[in-house]
Amino acid sequence: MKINAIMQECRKLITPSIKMQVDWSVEVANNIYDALEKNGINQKEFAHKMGKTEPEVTRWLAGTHNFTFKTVAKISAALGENVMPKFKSRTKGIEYKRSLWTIYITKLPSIVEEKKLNTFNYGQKREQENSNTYREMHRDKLSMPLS
Amino acid sequence: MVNQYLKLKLLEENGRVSIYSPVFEGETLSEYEKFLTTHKELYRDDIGVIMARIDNIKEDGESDGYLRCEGRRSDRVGALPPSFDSCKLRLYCICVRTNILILGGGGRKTTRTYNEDPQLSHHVNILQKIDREIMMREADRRIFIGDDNLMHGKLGFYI
Repeated sequence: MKINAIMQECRKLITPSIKMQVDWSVEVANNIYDALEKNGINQKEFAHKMGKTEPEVTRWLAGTHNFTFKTVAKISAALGENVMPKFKSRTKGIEYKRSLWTIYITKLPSIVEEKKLNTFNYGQKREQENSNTYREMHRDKLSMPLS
Repeated sequence: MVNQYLKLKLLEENGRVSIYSPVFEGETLSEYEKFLTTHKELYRDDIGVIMARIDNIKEDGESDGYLRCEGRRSDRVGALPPSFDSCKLRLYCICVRTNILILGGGGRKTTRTYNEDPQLSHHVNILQKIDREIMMREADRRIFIGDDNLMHGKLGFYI
């Protein structure tokens, strides 16, 4: 394996967004190519179907075309297959969990207040309710017999 | 025009794809290395896009879309990236095989076609001459592709 020093230095310019943009473009191109192969359509027929020229279709398949959603939707409809990139769910899952945690932390005080939950004194309150003195005082309200 | 001597320098290879670039006599950097050092400060994002695309090609190998050379053109010279709207730079290269790429030079694209730009036209013309020479040398086995996906033989010649 051989790596060029100047190229390696320039790899530092690949930001996460650039990497995603290029990866997605390549994935759409590969999905289109696979769909054409699967349906037995060549590039000339596909270009005619899409109302495009062959060089335009070749650029789509080269993997560096800046697709719009509109174009991807038209291609998907023409091929009968969804050619959008299959976005990896792991990152999305982590972000979703993070957003749930954020909601929990920020909303918890208001939930406690709304439900009148005295979480700090809850244990003490239960102990108090279980004592005989308390039961005798509130015999009318409580259905529990004196022990 | 005076014939120039060049040699094809192996820049990178990973067992799947080999990347070369021509180095002219008297120079130390190849055309692609010169392209990177010239443009990396002013066009950081564009260089990032081009490098990311090259890394994809190296990773995917012969299944990569860019290396699926249709062979309908008279030569094997292409542009990278061919049509990223946000990319002002164009790099020109030769797709020798589905696993061998020769990266040349390029520059900022300001015209509709490269023919209308003297600088871009110059880089494309050089690659077209290199492509013709390689095709002749492949025909008489002065250059051949080994099982290691590398070009072997006389990689230095005049254009």
